[in-house]
Amino acid sequence: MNEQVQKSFRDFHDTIRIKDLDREEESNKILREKRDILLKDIKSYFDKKNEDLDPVDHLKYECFNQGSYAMYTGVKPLDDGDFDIDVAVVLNINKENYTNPTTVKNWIFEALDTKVNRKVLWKKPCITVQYTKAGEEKYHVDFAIYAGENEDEKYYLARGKETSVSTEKRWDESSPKELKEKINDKFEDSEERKQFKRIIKYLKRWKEEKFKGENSGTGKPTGIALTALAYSHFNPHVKDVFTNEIEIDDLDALLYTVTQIHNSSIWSEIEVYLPVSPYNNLFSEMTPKQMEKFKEKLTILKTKLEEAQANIDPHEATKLINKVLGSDFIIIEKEAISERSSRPAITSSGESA
Amino acid sequence: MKIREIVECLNSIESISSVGKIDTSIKPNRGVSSLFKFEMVFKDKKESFYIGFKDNFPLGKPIIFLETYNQFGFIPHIDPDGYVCYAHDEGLVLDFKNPKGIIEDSIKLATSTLMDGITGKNTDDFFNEFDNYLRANKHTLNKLLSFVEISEDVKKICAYEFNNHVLLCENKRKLKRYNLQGLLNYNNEKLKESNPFLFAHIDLPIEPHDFEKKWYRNEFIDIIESSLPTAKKVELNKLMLTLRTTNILLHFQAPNSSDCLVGFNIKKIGLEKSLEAVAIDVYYISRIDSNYVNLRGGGFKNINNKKVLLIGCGSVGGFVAHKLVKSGVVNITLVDDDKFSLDNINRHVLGIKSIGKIKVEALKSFIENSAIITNVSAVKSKVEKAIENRIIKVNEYDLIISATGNPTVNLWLNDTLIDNSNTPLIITWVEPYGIGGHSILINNQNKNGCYRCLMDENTNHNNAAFYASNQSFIKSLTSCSSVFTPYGVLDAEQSAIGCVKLALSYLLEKETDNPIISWKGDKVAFINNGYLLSKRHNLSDEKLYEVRYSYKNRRCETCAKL
Repeated sequence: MNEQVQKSFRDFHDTIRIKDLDREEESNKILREKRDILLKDIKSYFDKKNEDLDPVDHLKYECFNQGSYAMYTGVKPLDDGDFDIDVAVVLNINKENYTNPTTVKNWIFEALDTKVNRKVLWKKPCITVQYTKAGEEKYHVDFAIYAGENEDEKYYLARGKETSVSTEKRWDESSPKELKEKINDKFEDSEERKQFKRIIKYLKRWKEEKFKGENSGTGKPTGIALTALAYSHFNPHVKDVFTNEIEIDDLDALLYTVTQIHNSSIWSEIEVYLPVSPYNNLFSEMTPKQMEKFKEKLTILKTKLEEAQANIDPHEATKLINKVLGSDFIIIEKEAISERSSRPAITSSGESA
Repeated sequence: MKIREIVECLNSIESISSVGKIDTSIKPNRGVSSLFKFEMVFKDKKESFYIGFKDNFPLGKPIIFLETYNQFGFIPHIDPDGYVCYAHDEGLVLDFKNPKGIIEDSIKLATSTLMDGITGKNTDDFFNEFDNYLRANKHTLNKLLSFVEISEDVKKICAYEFNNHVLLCENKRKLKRYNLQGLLNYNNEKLKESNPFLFAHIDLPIEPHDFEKKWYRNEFIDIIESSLPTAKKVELNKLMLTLRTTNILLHFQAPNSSDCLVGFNIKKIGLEKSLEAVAIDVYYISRIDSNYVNLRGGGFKNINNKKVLLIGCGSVGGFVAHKLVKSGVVNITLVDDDKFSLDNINRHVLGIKSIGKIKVEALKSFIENSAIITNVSAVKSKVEKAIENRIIKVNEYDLIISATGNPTVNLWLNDTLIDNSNTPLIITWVEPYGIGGHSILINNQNKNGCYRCLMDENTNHNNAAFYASNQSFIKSLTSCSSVFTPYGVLDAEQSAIGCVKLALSYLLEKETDNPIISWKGDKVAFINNGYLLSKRHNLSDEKLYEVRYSYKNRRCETCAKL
């Protein structure tokens, strides 16, 4: 392990990660306030709606963050892309009482579509609020709406647009909370957990770099598919096995994960399952040809990381990593390579014979 | 157990009858304190047997005899006095709470041993026990001590008479490498050379003779005819004629692969059969050659030609030297410039008589008396001086062991050997208050990984340590002139065990890489003295072993620049 290379990984991570809105960071203030205004609008909408209803029929709901943002696996988009904040809205309704889920989605649409300058859109899995104001970070907030009081005690996601054909208007089984917990609780040790999240982010950034400008359908895996792959193949590299001391090595961990994925059976079976219900195949849309393309790129990633690991010169090593993770991964300049610090000439030892 | 109780037991066993106590003088040689005759149906016929008990019964097994050894023919596991060897005491568990059961089982085991012999089921045992039959034969002569190295060739073996013994060895020089003083109280008296023997290895085992039967010359010729290839037969015959000797030493392997050696005087030169029956002399051979003794002691073959340099003859070094010779390493050079002092006595292999003596000399004489064959040199010097002055040439050794416990000297040795030599080095040391110790092998076939890799680049703290960095453990009971690191005899011995195991695995070519073998001890004393452990001390023994190669530093100043 080279400390300087690890520092480059740390800096890289600081550059690409999406910071948590709910932590007191000045840079997030605007975003946080915007989201909170949206949540307030939803609240006033239901408060008003409930005024006309019998108290037993009052609509209640719960909001929480979901998706990569909630799992702390979000990565800043490249160039002009925007990034999303996913919010789950779980209503105290039984899906059986609302055969058309767009009726329920429409409540949220109505709740948010109240201002002229706010762009609220219908999307199949959610209602989206898009912010594009110049000078601000571009991002959107996706509201996924769930029926939360069903006979089988599962959550169901409201799908479809008002204009969709009837087969697309449906309730889909979903476990937004379990997924979040599963990813967040996979490692008890905080260093191991943090490294797990970093590796997911490195893979997601690599994907954006290597499939730049390409849509899904070109072999570009989704973020959740990479998350699921990391979930089954990552192994922590946060300790020196010999001294048992903390020694965080993201390069080893990333290479290990990539190698495990490379050696796994996903290439022949084209299957990666969501680790929670409904356990759907996240590669169901991939064709063998697309998988081949994905594997090709992953092989290059593996080779470059191997070369970087074998190279003891931090300049050369970071140059190799930069080639696969992109320009946000800073190459250590030759001049910046630290000389071995001079050690004391006389030290004590407990050795005897 | 009281005789009355034994009688009760015997009388209650249904399968035997007519139990009667008789005088122990009938079977005098087995130390039994009570002896009984009984009858039992064996092979459809009522037969007489004897059962004897020692004082310690039921903590020791009963002893069963036949009337005569050949009551059921000449079969395996029956001694001349009719003793039936149905089991060895070693490796037996007796349920002493059930003496009757022990007696019943011993009778069952004895009869099944007899049945196996009668039906031929254990014929191999016959051949395997060749040595015992040879010794028990009443005509066998018993005065030959063999230092002969077993080999495939036909060769001349010299015979030297000393103190009623005849010592057999390839030559006098080889014989004198053995510790004859310790073995035979030999003090350089002149050895009288007698008629030589001729050694030959035969391919088939020899069938033992009945205890009372003589050996005849034609039987010997038959053995040679059937088991010695023609070329060797010719060679043997030729040697007989040139050396004018009729003494032959035959070697063969029993079916269980044990080595057997037997001597003959065939009375007449040549390998042709005699017309009349010529009785010949047969010799039982006591083997003292180093390979035999070594293997008997759990040692190893083929390491008596290896040369080991041991640097440092302190607590760990003393035990290392001792365990090396016990394991069969013969050629050892000891280097140390210190005298043995009273302070060392409780954690050193040497005793009170060595106080005030030069350590290398005292240790040399100690280990020379610890094995039948040693070749120890003592160099009183600091190792760096001895190497610089070429008193010691590192390339002449198969292995160097440093038990100096001095990290500065160890780093110097590490760097010097990696730069200038292909001889591997083991560095071994202990840590304070019994928390552990280590042995690292370096400069093996695989070149990466060395003692310097263990040292933190910025602090020179040894990363293998079970203590945290920045602590000093030096203690002084009186003054600056007598400082020491606190650890005990068991710690020194534990590190020595690890070190010698590592040395053997290298010498026996089982290890080609550079592992560090650590042992972890109890931490209580260490902590009670206010010291801090390293995180490495939390690793389990299994884990410590698993990571034995994981210390290598790819940027090591010493081994990575190669």
